[in-house]
Amino acid sequence: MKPSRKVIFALSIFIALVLISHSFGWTSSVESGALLISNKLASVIYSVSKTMGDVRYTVNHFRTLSRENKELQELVNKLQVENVRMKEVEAENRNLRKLLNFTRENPTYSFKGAQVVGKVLGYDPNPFLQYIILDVGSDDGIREGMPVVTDRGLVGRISHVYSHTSKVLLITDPDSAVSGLLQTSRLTGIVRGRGAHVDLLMDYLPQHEKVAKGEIVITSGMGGEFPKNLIIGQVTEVIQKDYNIFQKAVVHPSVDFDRLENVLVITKFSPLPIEGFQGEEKQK
Amino acid sequence: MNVFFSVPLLFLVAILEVGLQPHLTMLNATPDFMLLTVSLWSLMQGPTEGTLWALAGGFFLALFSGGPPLVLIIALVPVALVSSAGRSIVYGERLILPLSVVFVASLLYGLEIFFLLKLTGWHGNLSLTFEHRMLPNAVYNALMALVLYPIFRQVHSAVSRERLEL
Repeated sequence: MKPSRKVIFALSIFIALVLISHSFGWTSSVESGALLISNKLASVIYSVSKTMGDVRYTVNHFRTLSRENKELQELVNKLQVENVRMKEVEAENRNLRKLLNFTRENPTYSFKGAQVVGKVLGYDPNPFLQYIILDVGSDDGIREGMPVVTDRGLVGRISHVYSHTSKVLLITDPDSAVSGLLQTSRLTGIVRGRGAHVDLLMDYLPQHEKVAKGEIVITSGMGGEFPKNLIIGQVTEVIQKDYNIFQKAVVHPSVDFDRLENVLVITKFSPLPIEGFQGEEKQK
Repeated sequence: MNVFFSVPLLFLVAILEVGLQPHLTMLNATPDFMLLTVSLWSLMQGPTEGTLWALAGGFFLALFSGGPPLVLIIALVPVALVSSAGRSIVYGERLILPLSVVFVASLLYGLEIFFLLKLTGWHGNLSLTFEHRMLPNAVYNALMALVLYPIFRQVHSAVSRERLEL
């Protein structure tokens, strides 16, 4: 069928009008709409073809991809393990730095050997006894009675020594007694443990002296078992009863005994001179 | 159970108790793995094997303890006997059985250790120890028993089957 002259004429007029409108910019909104639609359509077609291409590629290279996936998974696992290890090392590094600062701040004490620290291996299986097991023993120069500390304060003292391990009696054990000193009021007393997760009790404080909540309790150094000025804890409650000879103070320990990892064993320190006793002996 | 299997197992439990215990602390309570092992095994196997496990388990725990070594060995034996008595009272699939047996056994274990330590001159206070250690531990152990009981049942049935085949 041959198109009539009228149709050809009308089409020519339409094209000419479109071209004129385009050159004057009258059809820009229509054009942008058309472009938008065509772009959307093109992107859909592109994504469909890409997916089909990917599927074809996957089918063709299934074995290679599967192997690569396995390798990458292994790498991820390895990196995850590495990451955990790095975090552990970082945490240990942080702890050791704290302990190092403690040794710098207390240069008068000698701390255990080259390794300086004892790592906590475990806790006492007896539910009521407060001991920890360290990875340093007599071969490392550890002896019974040596004080054990962290950067936060006093932990306890060595109670049993084996060649490569040792046990530490924590200050929270009811059998532990430490001579303590209230930092502000300068009163001395005996700090006793009362078991796990129970605050310490400072006893034998003179009845008529003022003891304030929040006071810091440190080691007095008396008795020569511990060096002076190691932090024990902070007073949280004062127990004063008229019928008692002494008042007592509840002391919250500064060390978190549930999260002990590295500790310092003080192998040598200068005990306080016992002037009073020496004087008495001379008088006798 | 075969001694070549049970002895290393009990040693492993002792190591787990020493090393893992502080990391599993919840609301001041810690699980007593050896107590759970002895109690649940006695519940299934009866007093003879339970007592043997108590003695061996107590010995392994004593190796790691700073306290008097006999305390833990002595304390575990009545746990085995009481737990095996629970077996004759009620027997069945109900989880209330291990829960209640382990709870009672834990309290008994705690009281025994407390009084045995007192005999050695230990300075612990009963009310504080009961409130902060004995009771929370007994609850924790009882809850742990719910988890461990099905595993012990599986092991027990496997062991019984082996015996029948022999």
